Amino acid sequence: MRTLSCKQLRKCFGGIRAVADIELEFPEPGITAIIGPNGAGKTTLVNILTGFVRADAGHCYLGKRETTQLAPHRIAQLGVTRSFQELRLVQQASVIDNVMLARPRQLGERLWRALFRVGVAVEETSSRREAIGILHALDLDDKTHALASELSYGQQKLLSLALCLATEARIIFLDEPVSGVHPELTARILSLLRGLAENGKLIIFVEHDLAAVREIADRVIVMDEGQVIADGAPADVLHRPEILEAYVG
Amino acid sequence: MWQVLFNGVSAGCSYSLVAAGFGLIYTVGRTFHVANGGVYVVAAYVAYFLSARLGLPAGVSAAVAVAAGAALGALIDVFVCRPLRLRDASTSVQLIASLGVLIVIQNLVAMVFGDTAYSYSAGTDVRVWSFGELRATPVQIAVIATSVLVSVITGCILSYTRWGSLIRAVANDKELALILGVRSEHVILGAMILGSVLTATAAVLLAYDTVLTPLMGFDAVFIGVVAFLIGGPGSFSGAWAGGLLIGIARHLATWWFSGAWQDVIVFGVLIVFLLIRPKGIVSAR
Repeated sequence: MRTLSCKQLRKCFGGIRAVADIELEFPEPGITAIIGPNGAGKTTLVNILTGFVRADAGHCYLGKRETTQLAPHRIAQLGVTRSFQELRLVQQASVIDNVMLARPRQLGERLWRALFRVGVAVEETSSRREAIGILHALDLDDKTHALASELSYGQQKLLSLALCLATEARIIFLDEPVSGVHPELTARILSLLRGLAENGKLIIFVEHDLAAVREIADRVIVMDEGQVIADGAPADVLHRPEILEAYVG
Repeated sequence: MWQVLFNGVSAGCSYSLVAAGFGLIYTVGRTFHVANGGVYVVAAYVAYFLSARLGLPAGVSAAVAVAAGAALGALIDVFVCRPLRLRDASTSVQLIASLGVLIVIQNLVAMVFGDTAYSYSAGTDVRVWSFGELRATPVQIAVIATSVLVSVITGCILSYTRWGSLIRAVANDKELALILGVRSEHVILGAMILGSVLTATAAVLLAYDTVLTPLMGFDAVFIGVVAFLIGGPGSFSGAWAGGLLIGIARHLATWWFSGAWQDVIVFGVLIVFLLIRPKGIVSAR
């Protein structure tokens, strides 16, 4: 099991401290929720840990390997993936093609194999089988050949999660995975996340829905003005009146 | 009339290739890559040099010229476009840099070959095949056949291979591709090479049917851009539709009015499309 960690992480945008000297450790597996008011620095922290934003100072590690300066695709190749607050899908590709796209280490990515198809067909068949398995687990198997753009918002959220699963990443960052989703689908997504953590994955999610956080998080990190102001089990953190009043409404 | 349409289709096929090459690079790299005109010039001159000066077979000359165009496209991406992308340069900065590359290449070609116009067919009899009332040169047939073949191969690559999926993914959302572990810069380089192959193929085909000048790339890329915009940005089939429409419109303009009206008609059609159907003939879904 590896630990994702950061030390003295700092990021400013035009004089505003988005992340201020944060030190955190995220051991695998488990479910950690990051909460806080808008502008607290939650998404900036996720962006730094996944390589989309460079920190002004500090270090990030995956196990013993420093990832501070790595490009997003390199961090993804180390087994860290994420979803975004706004849905990011290949809208004009089919559901199955979206999932296939996320499958890692495919032979067809190598130019000479792409040209001459050596071993590519066999691997694609196996990869497609696994992609169908993921869609089945997410109840999207009847939408396999639909375009991503034809799915409902909730189904697109599920597809976004399917892409994360297809990467085989062990660490998954999710930005508001249940926002805007109806209660029935929310329950299904939360159940899926719990299942993933039980299978050894580390889920770190940014969320405003406190009920969802209470239901599945093992740990809650509360941020405000770029700093961690509380960190602990939901039962210890979420009942604090000052947290509820000042930071999550 | 049918002869004019046939000539228009023949020319339109090569415009379609330029439009498709430009469109591929634009949709994946988000660069208004007018430097592709430089690839066009170099490919045409390499084919001419190998074929007319060194006497190599036309097929060999064409293959080497397309490879040279692809290599030049890759070099432009690695040494100019990629550094600008990594610095988050604005689209206008990238356009100016690309225009600079085009001017540099055109001037280098002019320094090496001079400003004289060259022609493959100068001093030779041009064979003509008759199909009823329709008359076609072997070059016209080759242009149509090669354009269709190259486009079908490219379409298959984009639709049915892993590389095609990656190109479409990066074109759709570069950040999504990154979180899936895709090396976006490699994919953009691949698109740049493929786009250059299409452009160089068009250059070699047209070079057999027209005169070569160092400034020919500028005209070619702008016709390609117009075809790309009229056809529908982001659509491979749209580039084809736009190219054919422009080819036919240019020849009809010459037939009805005079050669001087060609560009008036081309840009007139563009303006009409921008006003009435800004998404083009085949809007990308």
